[in-house]
Amino acid sequence: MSNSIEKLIALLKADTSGEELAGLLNELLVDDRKRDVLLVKLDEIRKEMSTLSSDVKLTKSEEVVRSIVLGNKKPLTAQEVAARVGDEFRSLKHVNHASVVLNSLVSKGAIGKFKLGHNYYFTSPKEAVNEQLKRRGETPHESDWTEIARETGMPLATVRDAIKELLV
Amino acid sequence: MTKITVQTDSGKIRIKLHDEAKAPVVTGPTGVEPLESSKPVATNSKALLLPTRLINLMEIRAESGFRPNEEDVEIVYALSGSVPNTPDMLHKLSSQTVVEKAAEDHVISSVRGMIEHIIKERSSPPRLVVGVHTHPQGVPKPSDKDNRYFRNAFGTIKSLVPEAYVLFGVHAISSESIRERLEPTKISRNAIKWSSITREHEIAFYTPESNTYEVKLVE
Repeated sequence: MSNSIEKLIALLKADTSGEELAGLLNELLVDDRKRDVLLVKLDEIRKEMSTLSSDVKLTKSEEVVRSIVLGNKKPLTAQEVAARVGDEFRSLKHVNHASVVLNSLVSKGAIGKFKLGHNYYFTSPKEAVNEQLKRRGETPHESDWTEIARETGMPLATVRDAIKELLV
Repeated sequence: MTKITVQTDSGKIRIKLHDEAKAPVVTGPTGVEPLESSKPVATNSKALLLPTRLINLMEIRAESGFRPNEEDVEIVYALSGSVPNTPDMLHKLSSQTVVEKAAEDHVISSVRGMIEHIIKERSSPPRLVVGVHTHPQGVPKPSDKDNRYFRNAFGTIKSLVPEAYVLFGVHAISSESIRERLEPTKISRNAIKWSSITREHEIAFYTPESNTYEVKLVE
């Protein structure tokens, strides 16, 4: 038996949801078609995971915009962010450029986004997920992570981390 | 570790989120929000001891009743506990068997349905029941109708769960606008106030006779 398979067995045995995970894998691996889709999906997940947490690389512009959003106590629109940028990043004073950078930060899970009225507001991932839960009539204990990720534009793992934070 | 339910395209899956700082797992079925308490709570207090960790669930429940381009309606939810002074669960009570009609200035709910839900969700009769309804863009004070409701509901609740201590809450919520989050603080003997990033919240607690009932925030 290869090292990877042995390691997987050990991880499944140690995991509190190991039995469920093993059941899912068994179900998907016995069918060639499902196995192929599983491989593609797992590769997608690996790519998504690599853009998270400590692996996230931010540009100088992104770092500036991120600190403006997270340093402000109230959520901000792209216009408000653009108005707060210093002279050293003149291009960010244009709302369109600020919007591009803001949405890039959201897709990297560095900030969160929610819609109120006709405007999108940028804030911490935790507050954005909290707002989306309210709009969906869900709670941290019972929620649709995939839909929240789709609606907010944040990575699934960021949504998961925010939900965990809300449970504390 | 906390068990949560996550909706997926193919249905619901249960996920266990590890939490190094928490006490053993408390779980509940759909619609119930269990609260894990890491500290023992005094049972001889004359005040309602409201854990701050319940506040966020109350905020989400209260604000989830609002829909864009629709008028804000009152909603109901309940808190329950296994001791007479400390709630440890939030019950959404969104089922039509509990809420018969919701409007801007009133909500018609079934007290019997509420208690049946609570007992089902706790797996045993509660020692504390706090029936809460919201006042969208209002104040956390009971109206004359609310006073009558408190008295009538108290009789029904006591007939169904005689051991339970019964209180009522009025949860006022402001209109929606972007604001700074403010942490919960006690602003009077029976009231707690806080702000989410979109609405201001104030909840006050009352006895079945509509007298104020002291509340204290606990970790």
